[in-house]
Amino acid sequence: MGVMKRAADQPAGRLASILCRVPGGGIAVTSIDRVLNWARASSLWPLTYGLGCCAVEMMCATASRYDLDRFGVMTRASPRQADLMIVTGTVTKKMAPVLRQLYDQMPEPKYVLALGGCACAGGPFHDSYFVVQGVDQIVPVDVYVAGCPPRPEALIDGLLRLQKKIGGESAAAPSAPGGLPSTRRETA
Amino acid sequence: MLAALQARFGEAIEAAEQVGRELRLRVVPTSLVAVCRFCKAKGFSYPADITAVDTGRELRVVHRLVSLKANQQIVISVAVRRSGGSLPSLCGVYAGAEWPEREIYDLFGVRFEGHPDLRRILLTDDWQGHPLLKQST
Repeated sequence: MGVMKRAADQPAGRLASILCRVPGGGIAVTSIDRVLNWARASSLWPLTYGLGCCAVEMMCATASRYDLDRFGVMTRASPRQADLMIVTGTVTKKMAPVLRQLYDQMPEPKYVLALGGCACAGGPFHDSYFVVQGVDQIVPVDVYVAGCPPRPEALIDGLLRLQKKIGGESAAAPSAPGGLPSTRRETA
Repeated sequence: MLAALQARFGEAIEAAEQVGRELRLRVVPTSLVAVCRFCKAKGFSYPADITAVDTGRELRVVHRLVSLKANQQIVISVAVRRSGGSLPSLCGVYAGAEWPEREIYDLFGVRFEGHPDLRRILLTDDWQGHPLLKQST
């Protein structure tokens, strides 16, 4: 049984690398996990959640210069169509219940990326009377991207790490709702 | 403008100072609405900002009125009692005063008499205290 040559850097090669050809027929076998993970990781549709200046970096990342479409990342204006929430900016205590409601409206499986110091841990508003000290107090966060604000390259790095993380998931052992256990968190 | 104000309101204007294109007034609270109505009739139709300052010694609400036609500004400052103080609302003169006054109530605790909807605007409804007062920082 021959296994196709791996060319993991090419998208088509990545697909080929997870397919095993059965000799003598046009049949390809793989695991359900790999197909599901590949599909999920390759079409992350984030809910735009701009709360501050980090949102401008996210907009820049989605625009033509950085072009997140290349990674299958296309922003959505509705939580019903999104499977990733990119929290960009300062979350106030008044905004917190709204954020949680939008997160609850997203269909499973869903992921959260905290972009920038404010979303990660309150940022410059450390110990402020009305700022949530990190969005992980409200929703489970999969990837933290540090910076104030992080450049689009950092966001892309975070998204690639999230894709890598999704690649390690298994339908047989589903993760906790909304993300993986904290021991498997990645920090960009 | 200053002469007209002083002729009309006399003692109600505690202090006045012209700095460039800006006329700074200190007005007694009971005359605030009448002074603003007078200014509006004279062309100061744009309430650019309504805010408050807690200097530690006293709490003052500051109104900045602009005449776009004459390119002049009038800054009206009114003293308020720090805890539970109140002022007459300017919503009857300037409709745009509604949200700034809610913000001042929210952050400084000044009550505006006659305001149509005096609720907190930035903080949550169940918030205790007024965070921009010096005593709470």
